[in-house]
Amino acid sequence: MNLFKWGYRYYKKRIPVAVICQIMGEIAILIGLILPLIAQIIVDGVVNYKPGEEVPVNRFLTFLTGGKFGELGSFRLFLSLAVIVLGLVIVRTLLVYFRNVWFRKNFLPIENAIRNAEYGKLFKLSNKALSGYNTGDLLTTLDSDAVQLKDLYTLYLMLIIDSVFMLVIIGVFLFSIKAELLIIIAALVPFLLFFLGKYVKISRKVSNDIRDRNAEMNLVAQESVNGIRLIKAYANEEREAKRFRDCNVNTEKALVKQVTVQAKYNVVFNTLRQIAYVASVAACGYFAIKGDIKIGQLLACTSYVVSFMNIVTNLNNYLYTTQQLAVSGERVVKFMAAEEIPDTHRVERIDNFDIAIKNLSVEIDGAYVLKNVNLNIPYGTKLGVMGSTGSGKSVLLKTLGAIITPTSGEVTIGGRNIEEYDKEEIRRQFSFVFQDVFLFSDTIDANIAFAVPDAPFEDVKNAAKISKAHGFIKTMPGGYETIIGERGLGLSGGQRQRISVARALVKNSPILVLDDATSALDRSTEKSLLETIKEKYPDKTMIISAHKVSSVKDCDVIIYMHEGEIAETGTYGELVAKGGMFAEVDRIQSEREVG
Amino acid sequence: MARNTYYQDETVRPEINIKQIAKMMKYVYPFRKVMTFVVISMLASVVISLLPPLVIKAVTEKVIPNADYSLMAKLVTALVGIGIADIGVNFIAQYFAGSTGQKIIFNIREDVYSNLMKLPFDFFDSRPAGKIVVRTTNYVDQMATFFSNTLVNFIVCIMRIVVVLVFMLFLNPILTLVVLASLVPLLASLEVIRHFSRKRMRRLTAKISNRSAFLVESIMGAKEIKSFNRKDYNAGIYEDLQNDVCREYIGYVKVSELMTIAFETLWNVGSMCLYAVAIYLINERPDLVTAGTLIAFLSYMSMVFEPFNTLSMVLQQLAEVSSKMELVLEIRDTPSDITEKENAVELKNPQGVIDFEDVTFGYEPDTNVLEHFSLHVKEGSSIALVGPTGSGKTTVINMLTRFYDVKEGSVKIDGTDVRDMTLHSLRSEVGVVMQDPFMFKGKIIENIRYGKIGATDEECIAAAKKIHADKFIEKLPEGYYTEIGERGDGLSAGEKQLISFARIILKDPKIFIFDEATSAVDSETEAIIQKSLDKIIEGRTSFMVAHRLSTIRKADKILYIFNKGIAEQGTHEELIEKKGLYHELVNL
Repeated sequence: MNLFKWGYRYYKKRIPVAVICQIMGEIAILIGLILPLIAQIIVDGVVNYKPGEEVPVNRFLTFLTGGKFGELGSFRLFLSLAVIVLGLVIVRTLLVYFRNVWFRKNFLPIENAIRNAEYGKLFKLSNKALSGYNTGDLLTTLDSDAVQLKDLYTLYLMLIIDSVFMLVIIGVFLFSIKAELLIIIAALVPFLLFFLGKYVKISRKVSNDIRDRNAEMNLVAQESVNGIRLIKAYANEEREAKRFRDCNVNTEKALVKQVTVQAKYNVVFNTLRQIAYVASVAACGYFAIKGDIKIGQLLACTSYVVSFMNIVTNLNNYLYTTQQLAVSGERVVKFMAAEEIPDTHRVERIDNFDIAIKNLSVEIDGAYVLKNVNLNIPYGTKLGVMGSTGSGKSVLLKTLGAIITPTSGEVTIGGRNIEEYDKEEIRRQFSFVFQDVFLFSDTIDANIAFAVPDAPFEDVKNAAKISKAHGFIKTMPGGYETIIGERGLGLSGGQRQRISVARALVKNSPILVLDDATSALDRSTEKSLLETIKEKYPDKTMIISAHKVSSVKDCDVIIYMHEGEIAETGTYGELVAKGGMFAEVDRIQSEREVG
Repeated sequence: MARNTYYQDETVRPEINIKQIAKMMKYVYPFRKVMTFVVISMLASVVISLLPPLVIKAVTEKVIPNADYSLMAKLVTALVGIGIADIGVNFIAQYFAGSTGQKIIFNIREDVYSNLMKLPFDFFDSRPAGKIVVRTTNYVDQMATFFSNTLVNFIVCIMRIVVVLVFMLFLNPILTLVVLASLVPLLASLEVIRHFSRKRMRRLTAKISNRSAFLVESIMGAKEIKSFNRKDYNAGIYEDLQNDVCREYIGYVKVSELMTIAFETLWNVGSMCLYAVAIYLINERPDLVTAGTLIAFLSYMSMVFEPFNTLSMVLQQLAEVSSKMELVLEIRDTPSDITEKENAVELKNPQGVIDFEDVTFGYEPDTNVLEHFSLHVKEGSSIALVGPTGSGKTTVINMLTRFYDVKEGSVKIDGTDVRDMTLHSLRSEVGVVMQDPFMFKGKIIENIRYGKIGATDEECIAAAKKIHADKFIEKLPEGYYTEIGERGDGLSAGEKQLISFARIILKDPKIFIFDEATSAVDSETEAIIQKSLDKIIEGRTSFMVAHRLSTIRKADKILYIFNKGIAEQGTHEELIEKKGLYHELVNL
């Protein structure tokens, strides 16, 4: 979708405000440019006034020297002009002030609207679309890109119009004072534009280079910090130091290159500016000697010529920035157009929690991860899922929660295909606990009550007791009010897992899925945790995937997955008696036969 | 433990810390000649900038009234000369100040990084990795501006003020006084506005960082937010955080934009006063002031205002940079807790006899994890450590690798205290495989090679084969040369553990430590690893921490660590016989 078309919907409502702001700005600019003309009258008509001489005045300002405000050369004229100058200045600054405040007040909501749209979209992205982004990309798109997109529509559009307006007005003024002076501008601006173009190109290359070098250095620093134990254990500090030094050298080179480029081009731009200045002084001096213009006009003209050059430079920068902002904007548009999880919204309530898996197959990247799986899980079943890494356990669990869509076959719940239900309803009825726990930097209490933010503290405490987290939470400095760091920093793997189980329990869904969720616990804690859950929630369906036989031993049914298929099904006793793969794993893990 | 969350504002009030700045000046010293040169050329640029108004003065007073074309030509030539000199001097200042600043930063980064590697683990454990990384990279970068810009600016501003003022006084003392008098209210009001706008800015920054923190967590925890149906609730929080930002931002704009009003109004009041005084004097005492002088003074007014104004901003930058400096210097100056003795010995081909003699240790000063822990390990024997989470199994290992030093007692290898050995030789002979092995972004083979820098590809592949990691590696699109992402992105926890085994095999130490090294692999794979390991560790001393029975059963000695020491020890059979804690653990 076209960037401007996309952004227009946010901008549309604000167009009247934008127009008013623009007009306020243009009036302010006009006043700003008239002020030097009045100063010129002060210089030529008062300070340097020689009786009998004619005082040149801009044709729009002749009323000032008509005598109403004081005779030429008189102090009264100066006073009147000074009052007019100050009055205009106050009007101008108030215009600028209110425009800037009002403008931001009205345009910040655009950024917020974009932010809200993107934030909502974040949770609607399909897995495929989501896998195309890493955390850093997403953060840029949702944060700084939203700011830049807003700036593109508002701030830069305004600045560009302002600049063009100023150039026109200066051109008109110069023309009205001495048209020949426009030749200086006409001669220099092409050179200025040429070098600006070159400079933008080369500085873009240099700054990209710096960004890459910085990223490399950041990565090394990050790896050194995160991998500090490994580095020390392998006594490889020297290697890391060398890696860092290489990056440091490269970064320094790139930065010095930038300094050099900037310094060099500044020579070029300063030269052009100096030429403009000297040329206008020389030309004005010549015209002044000839009597065409007065000293005040000389001052006004030189300052106009120099500002003209400066505004052209700024305009060029704005246009360059606009291009970059457009790139950010495109990212936002692309993000907003990314594929979403299809949501059919047909059935809003699940009334019956019997699950059936029929001929289920899942293909990922051309390979079958699940092949023709059939299984019934009536409500209240405690199901154990075992199998080696890559056997398809996790994928099977994810298809149950409709997190992964099957390639063929179906998962039904209460007799209906799971895809027919509202996604939110599925999420309400399933509680997933994943192996890699993500905790938020907040209090332990808030983390456990994540699903039900206003859950009574009793519920939180009960859940923590069942998940065996209460014990260690109690000993923490702030108890349940202790704030944990990002990703649960400061807690051990086992502690994190216990909090995440408690979090799922507070949600109190009829179906609880533990996907290798207790792997970091020691055997006794794990066993008593699982036992307590079964005891406290006898009605709920529980699906436990694990590596340890002890975790699934007491389940009603255990399935053993192998290469995407259910290889063995039965109770613990049945599977051991069968003497198959599960029995072998049990033998390896259990000491009984050896002992 | 208490850290920051998205709803708590974090504000720091930057203050200029002379001590920090003085410490930093040490880095400038080697470049003192270049820096002096830069300062001199800046001074020259100040002097040069005084000239053009004089030329204009001459044009108004001499050239135009007398129609003196030849003087005009001379003056224009002078302007050209002034222009060239100005361009040259500016180039020198910009180039040398900029590149020297970068060289200084290079040195600071080197210093900071080299100490980073020596910091105590506690430093890493007590704060998020990201916050340490920004100190070594971004914050140091921000200091580059200090060295290439702020510092020089500071000196130049003061020079400018002095030079311009002296020059103005010399030219016309009365008008100088008028200029100064009009600058006082101007500068004062700008400073007042700036003070308030800084305050607002700090509040705004705090709100922005709250919003970012929340957004980062939302992205990383998107899976949880979805599966817990928190999307709308979170969207509400996000909106509140945005509104906070908006409110503070508008508040900030309202204050900071006052600067335009104050500046333009007072500036024009000032110049009108200058006109008024000058006009009065021109009429009454033409000997004191001429029209040309007035015009020149209108230019000088901005020349003296500018450095005053810049000075205030420079001081602000100084305050900001010195608060960053403190964080950077903390990394540079935090002493290492593990240091090598001066006459440390090399540990070479150890037998592998290990003694813990009456070891007491705790991570915190007043709580001990181990007390009076003693253990003798015969060469070539295997020791398994079991016990509940947090009982101190990993701590025992940390003493042996000297990740931490004992509080009391000693740890000896072949009779030599580990504290008397060089760290490099100790850690070369003691190899650790960790539960969550770190992977570097890059090819798999490079990650294996990490075990022995300089090993050939063949050696790396052979090591992987020994541990049967080749099976999964060869299935990858580019085998050993497959690129993996940051922190091993793209590999499962079990695969990472396999690679870390290949690493240790390549390293080939005399003493092995396995810290929950197979926790993420399934039982079948573990059995395969176990078989290969049995061969590899034969005749070498090894320690293992594990939950799984299959892993520990065959150890020569099993230690049940509990209550700050060894609760039970013996072989698997002996401990089962004893029917104690170990028996209870096994029979769950």
